[in-house]
Amino acid sequence: MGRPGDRAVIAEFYSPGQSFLHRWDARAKLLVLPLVLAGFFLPSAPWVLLIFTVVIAAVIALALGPSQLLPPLKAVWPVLVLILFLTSPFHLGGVPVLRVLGVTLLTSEGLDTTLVLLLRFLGITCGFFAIVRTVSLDDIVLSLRWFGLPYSACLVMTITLRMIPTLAVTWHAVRDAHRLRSGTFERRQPLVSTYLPVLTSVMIAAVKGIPLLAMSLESRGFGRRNPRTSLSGLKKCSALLPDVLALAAVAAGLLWPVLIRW
Amino acid sequence: MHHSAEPVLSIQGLSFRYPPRPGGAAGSGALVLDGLALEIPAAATAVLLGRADAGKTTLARIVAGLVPRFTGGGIAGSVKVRGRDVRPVAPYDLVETIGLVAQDSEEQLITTRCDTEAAFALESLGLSRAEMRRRVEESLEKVGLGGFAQRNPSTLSGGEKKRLLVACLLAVRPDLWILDEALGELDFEWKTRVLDIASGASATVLLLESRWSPLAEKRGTSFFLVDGGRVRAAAADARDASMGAALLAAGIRTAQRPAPASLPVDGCLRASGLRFSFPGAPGFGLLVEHLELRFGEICALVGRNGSGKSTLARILCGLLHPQEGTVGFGGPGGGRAARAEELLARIGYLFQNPDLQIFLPTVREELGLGLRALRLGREEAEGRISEAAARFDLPDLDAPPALLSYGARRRLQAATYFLLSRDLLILDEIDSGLSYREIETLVDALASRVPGLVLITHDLALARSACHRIVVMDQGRIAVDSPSHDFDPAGEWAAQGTAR
Repeated sequence: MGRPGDRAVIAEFYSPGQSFLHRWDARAKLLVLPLVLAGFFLPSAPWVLLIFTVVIAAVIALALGPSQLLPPLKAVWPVLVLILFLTSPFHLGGVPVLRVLGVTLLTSEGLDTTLVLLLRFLGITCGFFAIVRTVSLDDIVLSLRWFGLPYSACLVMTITLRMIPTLAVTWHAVRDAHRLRSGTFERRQPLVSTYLPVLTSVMIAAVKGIPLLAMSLESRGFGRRNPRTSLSGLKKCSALLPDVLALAAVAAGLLWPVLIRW
Repeated sequence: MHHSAEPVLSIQGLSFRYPPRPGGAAGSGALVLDGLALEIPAAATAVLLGRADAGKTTLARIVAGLVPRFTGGGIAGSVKVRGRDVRPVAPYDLVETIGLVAQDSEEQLITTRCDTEAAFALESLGLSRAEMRRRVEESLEKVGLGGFAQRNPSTLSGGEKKRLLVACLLAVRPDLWILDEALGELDFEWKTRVLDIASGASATVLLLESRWSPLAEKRGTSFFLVDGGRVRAAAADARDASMGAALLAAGIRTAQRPAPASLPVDGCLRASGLRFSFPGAPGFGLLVEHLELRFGEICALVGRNGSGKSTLARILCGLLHPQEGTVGFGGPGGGRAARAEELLARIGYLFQNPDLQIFLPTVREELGLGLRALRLGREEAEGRISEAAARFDLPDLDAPPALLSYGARRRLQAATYFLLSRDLLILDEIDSGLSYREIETLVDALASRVPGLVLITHDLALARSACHRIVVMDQGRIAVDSPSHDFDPAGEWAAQGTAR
C-alpha cells in the first residue's frame, strides 16, 4: 500500500527556491527552451544527444539537487520502457548485435534509433521539468503576456500545466476511496479491473470540473473587456539581458557539435 | 457601497428546470425552483434553509449569473440586485455586485498562490498594483491567512480554503455575499468571524444552509424555509413559533432525540501509542495514547479545523501508516494488532466527496458491486439492492449516479456501505450539505447493519442527538472523551468554539 502521507499534495510542478536556475529570468528560460528543443530534434548522433541530456541533468542536479532527477524519470519511465522494447524490432538494418537461436533481435541501426529516441524523450522531459520546476505559473503567464500572447491563451496554458498534477492528486484520492470500498489492494487484482474504476471516477471528476472552472473564472471577472492588470511583475528589461546572454551561451554550448558540422 | 431603502436582492416568481438527462424526453429535467420569491434588505443577513436538493445551490448560481448560462435549462421570473435585473448580465460584469463562496471550495480555486487567488478578481477589474497589494494583504490578514500569501491553496486545509475564498470576496467587497453552505468546514469560532467580516464590510449576506444552527439564529435577520422549489415559511425573528414548527417538520432543526440503538456486538477497534506527522509539515503531529471505538456504539469525533480528525480516521482505516503505535481489534478473547489489509477490509470510510467513491454506470451496479464477493443468487442480490434503495430513498435504480443530485449521491454512497460487511464505518463530515432528517435517516439505516459508527462533524447538536459518545480532538490529541449525555455543551471545549 502506498503511503498517502508521503505525497505532498501540491497541485503544481513549481517548487520555490533560491538556486541559480530559479534566479534566471523566466523570460530568458522560455526563450532558450525552444533552442534546446531544436537541438534535440536536429539529426544528431546518439553521443551528441547524450551530451545534451547529461548537461541538462547536471544543471538540474546542481541547481535543485540530485534527488530532483527522479521526478521526471518517474513520470516518463513507462514510455521509456516502451521505446526500449518496441523500437529495435522495427529497425533491423545494419550489423546484427544480438542473435538468439538464429533470430536477429537487435542490430546497430535498431540500437542507434532506440538510443536517439530514448535520449530525445528524456532530454526534452528534463528540459521542460527544469523550466516548470523553477518558474511559477504566475511568472509563466506574465512572461507569455510580455511576449505578447493574449491573457486568455496564457491562462489556458497554465491551467493545462496545473491540470496534470491536479489529476494525479485526484487519482490518488480516488484510488484510496476505492480501496476502502473494495477492501483490497490493487496488486491482488487484475490490472484492468483495478484501474478502470479509478480512471472512471477521475474522468467523472475531471469532466464535472470543466463547467465549474468556467463558472469560477467568470464569477471572478474573467472575460471582462477592460484591460487586465497583474498583482506581481517581472524584472526590469535591463535585468533580462545578462540572463538571456548566459542562457544563450549554455544553449550554444549544447549545440556546438551540430553547429560545427553545419 | 450603496445605501438605500430598496432591497439589495429581490426575487419574484423564479422558476427553473434543468435540461433533461441525455436520452430523456424534452421537459423531463428536474424542476428545481417553482415560483420562488423573496426580498433581502441592505446589510441584512438572510438565512435560507432547505434540505439537500431543495435548490439552494441552483438559486445561488442563478443570482450570480452562472445558471442557466453554463447549464442550460428553462428559467422564468426576475432576479434583481439593487433594482438591476441581473439575469441578462454576464457573471464577469457582476463581480463588484455579487460574490459567491460555494460549498466545495475546490471548484472555486484557480491559481497556485493565496495572494494571486485573492487578487484574481481585482486583476480582472484592472486595479493598480499598489491598490491590489493593499487589499490582498488586508483581506488575507483578516481571515487569518496573513503569512500564507505564497502558499499554494491546494495545500491548505478545508477550513483555510474557505477562509481564502472569503478573503477573495473581502478584497472586492461586493454588495451581496452569497455563502452557499460555505461555513460547513469552519469551526464555530471562524463561522462567527466570517459573518463578522461580512458585517464589517457592510455587505448583505445570503446564507444558504441545510440545518438550523445557533449561529444562524443569533446572526440572521430574516429566515426562509425553501421546499419544493418555493419559500414555504418566512420569518424576521428566529423565535417565530410557526417557523420553528416548519423547520422541525422539515427536519432542518433537530428534535434532540435519543441516539439510535445499535447492534449488540462485542469487540472494538483499539488504537495505542499512535504517532504520526506529515513529511514537510512540522507544525502538525498526531499523538493518541489510547482510543477504543466499541462496536455497538455510535461515536462523534469533533474538533477544530486541523485538529487531526481526518488524519486519525485515515490511520484507523488503514490508509495511513502511523510512524509509531498500532491499530487493532479487541474482543472477548483479547486484543491484537491488525495489518493494513485487515483494517481496509473491516473498517469503512465514507469520503466527504461522494464522487470519489461512485464510478459505475447505474445505481443498480453501484449497489451490486459489493455483493459480488458474497456470491449471492440473483434473486437474493436483487432483493438486497431493492431494500437498500428503499431505505436510502434512491428513486431510480437505472439512473446514472454521476447525474444524481448531491443529496442522492450522498445517500447512494452510504447505501453501498450498507450492503458491505464492515465492523466499523467512519463517516467524514456526513452532515455536509444535509439536513438533520437526512443525516438521521442515514445514521439509523447504517446503525441497523454496521456494528460501529464514527461521525466526524463540527455540529455538536448532531453529535449529541445521534451519538452515544463524543470524542474531542485538539492539536492532534484527544482532549475529551465523554458519553454524549454527560457532555457539557457549555463546557470548556464547546465554549472555546471547538464545535457547535
